[in-house]
Amino acid sequence: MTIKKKKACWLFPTNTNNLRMILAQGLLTSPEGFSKYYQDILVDYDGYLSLFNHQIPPDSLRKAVSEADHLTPCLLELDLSKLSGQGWALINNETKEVDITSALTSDDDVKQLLIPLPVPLSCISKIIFKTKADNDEFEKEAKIRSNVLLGKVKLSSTKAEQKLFECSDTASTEVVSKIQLKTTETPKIKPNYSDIYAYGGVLSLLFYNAKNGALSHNFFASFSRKSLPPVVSDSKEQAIPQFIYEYFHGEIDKTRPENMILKGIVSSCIEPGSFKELLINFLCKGDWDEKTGKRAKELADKLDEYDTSNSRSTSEWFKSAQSDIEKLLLMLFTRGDSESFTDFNNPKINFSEREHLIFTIFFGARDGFIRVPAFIRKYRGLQTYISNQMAAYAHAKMKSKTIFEEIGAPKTVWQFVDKGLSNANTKLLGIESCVQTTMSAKAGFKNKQGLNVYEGFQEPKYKVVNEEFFELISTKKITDTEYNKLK
Amino acid sequence: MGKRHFRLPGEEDLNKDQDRVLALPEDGQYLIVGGPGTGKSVVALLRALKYQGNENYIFLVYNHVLQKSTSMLVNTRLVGTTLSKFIYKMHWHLFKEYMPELKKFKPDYDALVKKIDELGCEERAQHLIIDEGQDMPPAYYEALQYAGYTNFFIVADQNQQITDDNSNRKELTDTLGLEPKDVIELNINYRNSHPIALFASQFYTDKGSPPPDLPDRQSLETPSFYANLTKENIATMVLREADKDDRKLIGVVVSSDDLRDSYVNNMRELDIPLDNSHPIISTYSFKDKNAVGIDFSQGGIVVLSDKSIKGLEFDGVYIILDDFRIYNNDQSTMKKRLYVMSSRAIEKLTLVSTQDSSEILSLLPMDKNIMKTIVGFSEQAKHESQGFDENILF
Repeated sequence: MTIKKKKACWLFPTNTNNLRMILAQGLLTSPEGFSKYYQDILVDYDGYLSLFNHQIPPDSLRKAVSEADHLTPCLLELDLSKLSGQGWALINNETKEVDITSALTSDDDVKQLLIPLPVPLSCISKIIFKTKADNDEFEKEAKIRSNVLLGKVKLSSTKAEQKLFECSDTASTEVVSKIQLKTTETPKIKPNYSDIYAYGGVLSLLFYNAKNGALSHNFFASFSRKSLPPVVSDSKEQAIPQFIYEYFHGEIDKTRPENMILKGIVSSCIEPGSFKELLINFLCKGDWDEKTGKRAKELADKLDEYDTSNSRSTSEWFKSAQSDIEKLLLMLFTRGDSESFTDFNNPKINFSEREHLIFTIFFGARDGFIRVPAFIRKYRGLQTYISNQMAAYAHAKMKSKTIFEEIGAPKTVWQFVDKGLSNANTKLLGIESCVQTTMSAKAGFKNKQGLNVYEGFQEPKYKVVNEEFFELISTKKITDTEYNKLK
Repeated sequence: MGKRHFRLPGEEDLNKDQDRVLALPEDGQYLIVGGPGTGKSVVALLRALKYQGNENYIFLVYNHVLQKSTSMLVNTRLVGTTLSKFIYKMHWHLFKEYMPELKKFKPDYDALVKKIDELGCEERAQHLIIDEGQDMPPAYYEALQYAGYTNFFIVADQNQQITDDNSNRKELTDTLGLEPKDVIELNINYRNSHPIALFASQFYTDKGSPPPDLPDRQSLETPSFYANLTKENIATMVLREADKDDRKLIGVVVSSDDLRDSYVNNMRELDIPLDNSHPIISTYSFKDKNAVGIDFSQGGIVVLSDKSIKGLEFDGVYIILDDFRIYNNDQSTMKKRLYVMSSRAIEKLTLVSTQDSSEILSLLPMDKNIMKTIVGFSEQAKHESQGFDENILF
């Protein structure tokens, strides 16, 4: 008689404070990926997520609540069928490098698995609490944060699950030791979390901005597939989108002079500290040739004056801007974050769709995923999608073999509008004034008693008039409530 | 005008001390102390929001302006009132007679405590969340305890006392019988940029406790002092500031109600070219019999005297220094007022004066790294541009 192997249950012990950060930042990361971190088992395995099968070593649980009295333990159950690649496992008390999928399906008794970080939120199948009260408290606390969205993650605290916390007192203390896991076996390329979160921010805001029209939607679609977005044929107008593609997905062309300045702008956006101060410093102290240095200094002086004096109106400053980059910097100085940028509506300034797109990219990079406005995060399916994209981007950059089950992008507003536009969506978005109804000329019709009468069954087509649509939609905020009702 | 609202903090916005405060049990007595901008009011508000479904919570603040600002920004039903109104109402409810007073609106707490003690009150399950708790005397809390209140969550800053009847940290701790673990200090300033906090710190007077840590958040905007302006110059500067971002709320602080009225009229009437529609200019005085008419949920300009701005915060603050006086050579009181006024600013702080000399100027820092001094106001841009240039490098 064969003994049926108990179904594996992969658990990561941590505390509810770290859990909130994980949900806010959109990824399970090593401690350097947290902007606020309470010690747990992540510190023991550099670059890996340590998972235990059913039994949690008592030290790991104790460590999760060791840093402060107010910490509450919790367990994250992971669905490892959603990833594949190499990891480390404690099998029959021996540490071995394993193919994760093979290790899960083998007959070996795998007690502990180490998975390369970061890991996306889609891999978290359940959050387990020691008590129902802890579960309730966690939900209450999540509601008073702007960026802790539970989404479809299941919260649970059944009697059986509560025992997982009790069991740990008698569980085996055998764990993969740090000595066994040699330093050469830690991931060779460390994840650059600033870039990863910036990528998540850019992608999220591009998704939102895709409402503005075909150009914006196509840029989002290409960028998310890591292909060079076809913006416009003019090489000058292509310069910034091309640079952004190169920054995140390729190699920056250093022969193009504007790329130096764009790289400095992105760095000032991503680095910790005051964006304005970092940027002015960069413009004034960069390693420039004479001509470039003169223009950089001129830009720095203008921005400083724009920021500190009230000598003229915002529209006058924008009208006098001499280049795309100057406009971009003015906008980054005008609005402090993505949320206020999405609300920008100065009646005396008209930006083109392309300009909106450029602004969007840099606001996304500056805020990163963690500061994406709450209403955008709440778009159906967006958080999970972006989390997956960030994890895939990170592992691609790390040249790791870890692959996550792909998650398709949610439909952009433009996709709802572009094809098969419905009456309900038109009303919901308030775009009636820019919609046209057309009937095929072949259909032929008679005017009868004031009505156009068509022979046979004819389908009208509805489409938006691009320019009017852009004018209206670019200053319109599409809330999560509206987006989530689109069909 | 652009909409403003209280934005819930992100998880990363709360530091570990604030995490600890938010994890405090629902029942009990707690005192949270910290300087301006350390997030005291934020944790009080979050605690109220966390339990908002629970009808047993009351959010108490010092004045009507703060109460209005809080309730409008959270955009949700928040049961609250002012500290003073609450105790008067409680007294009426218990005795159906007028409050014993030493003078108008100044309760005789000794008499009150005696009355309540004689009446004998049962313990109440109600939770009181109190903002700016330092502005009430210890006897206020004693009276509430006699009336059966046992659940207190008080946030306070002893260096922002603006009334004569106030409590310091020790008095609050003793009155409420708090254990050291029930008193939590918040030290990191989140509201002000580094230059604004550095400027405000020049007026820190409390010798009993160290000043709050200066925030890391750097800014290009060193507080500026513009001397020798006309009233029209000042109105122009403020209107342009509000026009830059119609979601922002600009606070203008003046020394008296006369000046307040004069600047309100000036700004309402001044016709200068602006990108957006003329900003809403609102005001309030505690002497007004009307309810507070300021819409804190929209951008615009709010003109207030320094006595009414306590606890509030503005994206930008203009302090009009005219007619602030130092009485009886009491520099300490004036410094406290300057401390409260300047620490209201989140991003930009500007001091202005139509005069070139005034006794208050002697209190201002001379170091140009702390405050830039500019004489006069120019409407001419220093760096004129030529418009879009196809051939420009970048």
